[in-house]
Amino acid sequence: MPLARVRGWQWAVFGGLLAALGVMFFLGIALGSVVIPLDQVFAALTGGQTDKASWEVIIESVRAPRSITAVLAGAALGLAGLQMQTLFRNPLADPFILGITAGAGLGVAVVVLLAGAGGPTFTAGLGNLGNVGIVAAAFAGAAATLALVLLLSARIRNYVTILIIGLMFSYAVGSLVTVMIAAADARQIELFVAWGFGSFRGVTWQEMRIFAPVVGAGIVLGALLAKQLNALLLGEAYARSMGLNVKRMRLLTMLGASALGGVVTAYCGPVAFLGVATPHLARALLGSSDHRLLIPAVILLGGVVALFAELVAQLPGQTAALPLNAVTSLIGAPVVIAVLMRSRRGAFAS
Amino acid sequence: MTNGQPVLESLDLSVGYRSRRRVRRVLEGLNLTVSRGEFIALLGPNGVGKSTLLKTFSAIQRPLAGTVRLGGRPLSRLKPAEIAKGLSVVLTDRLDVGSLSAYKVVELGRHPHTGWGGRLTAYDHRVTRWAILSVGAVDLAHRDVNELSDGERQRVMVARALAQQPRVMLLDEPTAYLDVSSRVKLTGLLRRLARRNNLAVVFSTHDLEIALRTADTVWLLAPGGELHVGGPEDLVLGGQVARAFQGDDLAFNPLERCFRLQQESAGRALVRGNGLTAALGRAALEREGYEVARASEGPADISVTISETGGALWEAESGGLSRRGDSLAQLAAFARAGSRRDPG
Amino acid sequence: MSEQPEAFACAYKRKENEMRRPRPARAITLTLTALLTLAVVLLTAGCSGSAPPPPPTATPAPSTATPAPSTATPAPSTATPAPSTPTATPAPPTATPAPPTARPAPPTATPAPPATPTPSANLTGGCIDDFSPSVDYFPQKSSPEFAGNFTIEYHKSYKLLTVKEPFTGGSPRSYLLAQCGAPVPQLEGRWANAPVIRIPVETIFTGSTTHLPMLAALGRVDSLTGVAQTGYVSSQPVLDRIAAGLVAEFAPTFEIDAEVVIEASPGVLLASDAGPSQAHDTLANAGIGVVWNGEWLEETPLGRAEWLKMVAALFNEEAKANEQFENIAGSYNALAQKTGGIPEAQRPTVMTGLEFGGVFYASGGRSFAAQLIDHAGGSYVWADDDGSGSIETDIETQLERAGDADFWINAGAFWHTLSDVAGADERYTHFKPYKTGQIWTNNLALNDAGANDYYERGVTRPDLVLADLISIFHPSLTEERELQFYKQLQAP
Repeated sequence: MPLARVRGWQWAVFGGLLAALGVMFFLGIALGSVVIPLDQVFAALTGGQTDKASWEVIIESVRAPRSITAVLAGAALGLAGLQMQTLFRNPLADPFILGITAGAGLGVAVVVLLAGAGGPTFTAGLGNLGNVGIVAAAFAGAAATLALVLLLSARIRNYVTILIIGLMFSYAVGSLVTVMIAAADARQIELFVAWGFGSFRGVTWQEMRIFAPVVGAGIVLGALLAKQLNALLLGEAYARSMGLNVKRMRLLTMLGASALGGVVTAYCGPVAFLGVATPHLARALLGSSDHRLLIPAVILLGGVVALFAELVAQLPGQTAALPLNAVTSLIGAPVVIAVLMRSRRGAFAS
Repeated sequence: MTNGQPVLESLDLSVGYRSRRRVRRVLEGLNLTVSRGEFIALLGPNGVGKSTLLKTFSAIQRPLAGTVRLGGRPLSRLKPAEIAKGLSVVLTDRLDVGSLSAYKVVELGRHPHTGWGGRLTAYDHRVTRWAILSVGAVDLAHRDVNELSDGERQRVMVARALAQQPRVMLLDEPTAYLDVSSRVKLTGLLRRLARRNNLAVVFSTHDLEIALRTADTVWLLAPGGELHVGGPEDLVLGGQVARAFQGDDLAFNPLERCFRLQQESAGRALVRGNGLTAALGRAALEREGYEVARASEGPADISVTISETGGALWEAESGGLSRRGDSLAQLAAFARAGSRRDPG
Repeated sequence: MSEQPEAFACAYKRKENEMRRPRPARAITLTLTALLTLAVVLLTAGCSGSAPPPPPTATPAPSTATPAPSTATPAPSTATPAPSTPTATPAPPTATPAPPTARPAPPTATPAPPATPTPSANLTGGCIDDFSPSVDYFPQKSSPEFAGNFTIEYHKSYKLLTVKEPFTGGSPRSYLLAQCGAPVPQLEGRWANAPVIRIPVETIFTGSTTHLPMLAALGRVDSLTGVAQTGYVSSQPVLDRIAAGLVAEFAPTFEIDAEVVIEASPGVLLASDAGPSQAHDTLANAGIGVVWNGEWLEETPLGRAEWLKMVAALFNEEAKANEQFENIAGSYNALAQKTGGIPEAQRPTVMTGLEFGGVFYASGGRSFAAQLIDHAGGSYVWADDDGSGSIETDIETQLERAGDADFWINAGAFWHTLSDVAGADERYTHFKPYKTGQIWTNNLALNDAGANDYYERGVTRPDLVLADLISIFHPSLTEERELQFYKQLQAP
């Protein structure tokens, strides 16, 4: 009987993704605004001496954390997007559908925009709040939102209601931010907008110590929930009939996805598009909705796409980078549309 | 057959819906038993509560009162996975699973039997294959469920329920979207599965004929929520079936175990002849509202002779006019004209 | 509008309109992001190209300001306006100004007796009561030497002030500063509709804190009745006036509150906004003179400081302005001369700026910071850049360029120790100034309220800033002096 589990060509897809990730990662290390000869890149990677001391620093302290951040953020967003799309049975769902970004944005807005309202504390620039303060604020905002959503969803059974609450929350928070923007000066607004552009470059080794473990934990949790997500493909009633504790599973999934989305938002800003698009690309590539295939696929693919976006945003030799969100959306959207139109099944899955 | 040992039973069960404000009881005081290998049709008109009852039996919904026992133990004391190992369902929910092969869907039935990671053992794959084989869906296995016809998909869903290796399978209107031949095939399949695997099967339907012809036991829900349990023939004899479905327009024919449109009599008809053609000729006249007599008992408003040998198919005489024709549709038209010509 | 770090000045001023618009919380909607990106890209690209026009030829103005006596006497017979064709070409601002022709016979329209004595000084308060058209009421005149973005043209009883680029990309704005007590001349061409401001003004609203030290230098702090935001003020006399309730806050939310301005009706409002808004029209309609302050579009620190003369023209305080500015320029140039001969090899390399959100913002190669570094005998790492605003680069490029810099100035304003630097971003520790402890912030003059005098007095006293920098780069060149603005970050 032709009842293979993972088919040959699917293995090939995984192989391809792994190879692409490796290539992209190497490119992420090798390319940047400063041109470093390839042999020097290898020298730095193998622990040797580079001709210029700054090159070693650039590769070790700038490019390596940046590339690792991109991989982790892409994987986190892809996985969280997949989880949300299956959980809410909605092809447009992403990690931010529950208002996580809005919450993180509110935190950042409070720090960036209100910091100056009581006094001119922000006039002179960024101060030592800088990245660290913004990360902390975004984290607090995302965590508060997450707690609120989980609290509400423990009481509410209906998925659509939870979605609508998330949406309403986003609107309300958006209004608060607007109010703060109205009362902020241009420099503060610029900082806020710059945060909104998204970037993988803010994470240093120091911050990686928090970022990487949180993403790792989210991925482990996601992998453990693969079976449950599969059961949910048939709908909640079937899932229940197969012995799934839907409520607990929903809570765990939302916790995991929100933590992933929240930590990425905190460290990289609200990175658009990857969360929605990566699951669709993965489904189209694998031709399957099986989460035991999709989860590793979105993790790899998310990393590849994020690295690619980062590479495009930072065209080699060019000093000023494009906003990451502009790249992910402007380049990514047509790609996803093309992929979906070519695949027989069209948009959805889950 | 039924070995008398109840695998699923309800005690004083009330089912319905509970919202924050009020409780709506749909059915009350239900005492039902399901034995191994029993093939049960849950019959009743739409909206009487068949789905609610099945969902309560399968622990998707909580009972308002009373208990349901699976293998002698109350559902409320069992863990979800334990329930799932004893009982599986096929629901009316339309599937939107994205790209998933039929095999993967059936494989999902192994959910309660696998560990946290959902890793499938060789045994799980054997059971999956067996389930697919049992419903005759081998050539569907590698196809995407979205590409299957309604009948094929329903067979796959039955295989999925089978892969759970339950003792009871509950199916909510499994034949609802199917065409006639698929309906008959699926019901036959379910019955075979019940017999071969000593599996109790409860399926709800409003298709009276199929239920009465195939079920070991019928749970008949009358419109008021009254429940009648018995063999199909017993329920026909007792008149419960007729009462449950009979209305102004329908009359139950116990002998043929089917309903017929009730209408104002167009008169008496006498049909001579034998065989299939004569029987269908009678059916045509009945459809036109005639009471069809077999022998010449008194006067008739139309008298027909059906001959299957040579010449015309039929000859008829009504109100002094005679006609002959080659199709039964012509006969029906002549009869219709006659009833208008000669009212009463 | 308060003063900003100049590294951001260009980009920030231009982007302000986009920023001001309320945005939904999800600041990442595709369109908006795309538009913003486009805007930013276009604007930053435009930044470097939009340098103010070159400074005017240094020919002193007075020559043109003395029209021939014959033309000054209005011919009573020519009630009809002179054929306007020859005067309709206003292109050179020094074109012969149209004589006050059609003024319907003011009481003093009869030729004044030439016996009226010419005043020896500008009238710095009150009005003249015996106007004579032949008298030059402004014997003391100022003309910008370093500033390129404004011109003052003197006539007998009025001045013509032109701000060439009032805001980034703005077209020139002209103002008619008319001596109080003298008739307002009817001018033609672009002067016909120029806003009229009666001078000397008695009360002033300032949109930028950089004007406050100018008022102090002119001894006119008492005239200040309004500031944009009280929270950004450093100067103690002004803070005292604010505490006494003598100064209104007219743009607390960075949006001009027209009602507050109209209520106080100042003699003039110095606008420092990114561009014209409805509030400006409202004020103009209410008869309030709004003079655009294009000071921050100057190219050189001295040019910027020279706007003292523009402010002085409003008060008829030209004499004080000339004296003060001469001192500033003199001391600046003297300092610059000391370091001018330092060969490139002996110049320490200097970096500026900060990273945020993946972008390293550094001062442009033609920015004030870059010029100050150069004049202080330093070698700016981005000297080959030709932008006057800020450079947006990334940290790896900055590492490549400035990893071995000797000094890091204008670093994070809220840093006080070297551990603040490492705490803000670990990657900063790879810059040599971190290792050698040569990170200097300009926040020494930060007051308790958080306002930094560097952005107030530092702008009008570039000589002091320069002296600080020379003390930092070449301690041997300057005698022992206390730093005014700069502070070295210490190890904790």
